Amino acid sequence: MAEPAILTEGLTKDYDGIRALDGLTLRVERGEIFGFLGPNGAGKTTTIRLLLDLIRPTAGRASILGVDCQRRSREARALTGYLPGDLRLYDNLRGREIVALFAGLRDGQVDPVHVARLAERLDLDLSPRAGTYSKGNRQKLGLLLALMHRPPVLILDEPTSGLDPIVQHTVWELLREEAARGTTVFFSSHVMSEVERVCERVGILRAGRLVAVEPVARLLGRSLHRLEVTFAQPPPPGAFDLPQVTELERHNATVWLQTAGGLDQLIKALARYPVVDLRTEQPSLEEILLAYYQEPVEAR
Amino acid sequence: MPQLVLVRKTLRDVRTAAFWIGVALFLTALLDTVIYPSYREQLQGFEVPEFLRGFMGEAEWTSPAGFFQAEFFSWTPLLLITLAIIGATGTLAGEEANGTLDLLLAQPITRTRLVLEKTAGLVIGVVLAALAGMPGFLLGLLLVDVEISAARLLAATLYQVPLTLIFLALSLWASAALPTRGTAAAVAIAAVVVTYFLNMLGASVDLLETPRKLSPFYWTDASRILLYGFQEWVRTGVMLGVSLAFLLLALWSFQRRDIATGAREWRWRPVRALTIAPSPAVRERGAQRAG
Repeated sequence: MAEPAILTEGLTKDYDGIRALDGLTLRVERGEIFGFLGPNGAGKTTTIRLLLDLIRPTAGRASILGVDCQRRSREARALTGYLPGDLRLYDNLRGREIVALFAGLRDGQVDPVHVARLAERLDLDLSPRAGTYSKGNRQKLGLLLALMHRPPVLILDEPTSGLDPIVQHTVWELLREEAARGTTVFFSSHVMSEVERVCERVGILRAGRLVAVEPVARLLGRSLHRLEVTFAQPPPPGAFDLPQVTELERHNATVWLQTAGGLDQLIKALARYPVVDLRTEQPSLEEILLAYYQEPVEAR
Repeated sequence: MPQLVLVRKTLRDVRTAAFWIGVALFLTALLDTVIYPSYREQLQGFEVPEFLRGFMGEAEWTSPAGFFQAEFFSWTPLLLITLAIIGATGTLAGEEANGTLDLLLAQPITRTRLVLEKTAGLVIGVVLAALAGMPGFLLGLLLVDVEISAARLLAATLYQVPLTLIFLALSLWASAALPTRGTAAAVAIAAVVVTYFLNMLGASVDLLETPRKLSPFYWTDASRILLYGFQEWVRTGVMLGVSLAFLLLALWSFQRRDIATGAREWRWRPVRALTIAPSPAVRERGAQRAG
């Protein structure tokens, strides 16, 4: 059986006695887009930095395509493309100089034609100095650096954080294209809607612990929605008594509802009364985790 | 074949500092050479105060060897050392604080390669800056008549490099082991100041005569080379050995620790810093025993 793209076994990291990652055991198969979801501070970046051997584990082990991330870290990193969450570049260097620098560290792994194609695909001009790039262009350059050597495994730490929606779409498209040609994409996010859109499976991390690994389809079936509905007349009490609906509050003709799972039955129930206005709201990831996975994690 | 991109990148990083230090050395060398004849006439018979003996080396003040030692080689290593400290603290702690070390070490390079390539870039920068004094001497020797060998001046010029390497490697170690670039630079500068004055004062204060020998500056008396030619093989070997020891300490410290994103937290834990973290193989054996 082929080695998984990423495998961690009991991976643990303490910082000055504080446990940042607690016994993470995770298997990411080859060719999948795996979302690593969790609120800020959950341990996503710690996991990624352990995979790249930028930090050393307190316990446990990790491997990329069967290559141990600590003992054979250089080989493991040769198999990956990495985009850090907080991307810093050499501001005094031009885009193409940065590309040349990092390509030089990959000893012939980088095809200049592929770099040019990627820059064109990302609509990125490599002539200006990195210090003059917008946040979006910096992130594009970071992506180009991660992709330019056609790595079999992509590790991206919040790749769309701070990007405008157009650039976000470009990034998602690129990730899907990479996955289509067999690349494993492992990316962290704290935005539920993003992983829903891009990933096949999701690992959910909370306070350093993996609380669930689920196919996105199952996660979607359980997704929370909040609705604020204003009717022409106040609907009668109990009008929305459905198993998956919690009526949170009502004030005159406005009702606030929360639903877990599909919306079909609720929409049909709402449609029985004249609706003046309807607004939906995406609950925060932390609220979803609270609703589904466990009680609040006490401060440790 | 490796492209040595980090050597080139490091050279690029220090080029501005190296250029201006080179300009300073060139102009100082030229000026010193040109003024020497009139200086010698003015100071004939002048008794050198005891507390200035440390600047003279073994030669007489009014001789070309004594003059160039006092006016040039006694202090110009400080400029090269400044360049070394700027460069060495920037390579590890500086890159870490900037957040660029993260992306660099996510590439398929070992930490050892990173440190060695950056060190090589700094050494080249130091040598080039040191050599910038030579055209100044040569131009001066064309303009005035001074009885001194150009080859000995070149040897004395290059003899500044091993001394500089000691502080370069010390800065590199501080940069690898201490949490911020500022702290690393402060430690290196303190070491330079203490050892420099220990040597200077030791020349006239009996109490410091023995401790003076601990100062690397004591072992780099260029006047000996200007007087007798280059015979300093042992001294050079010792200085290179000390530099290598600091470099190995830097490699060891850098291998063992986590890389921070952005500035590291300032927590002084000397015992912890010196503790050898278990290797993956040792951890694995421990885990097998435990489980």
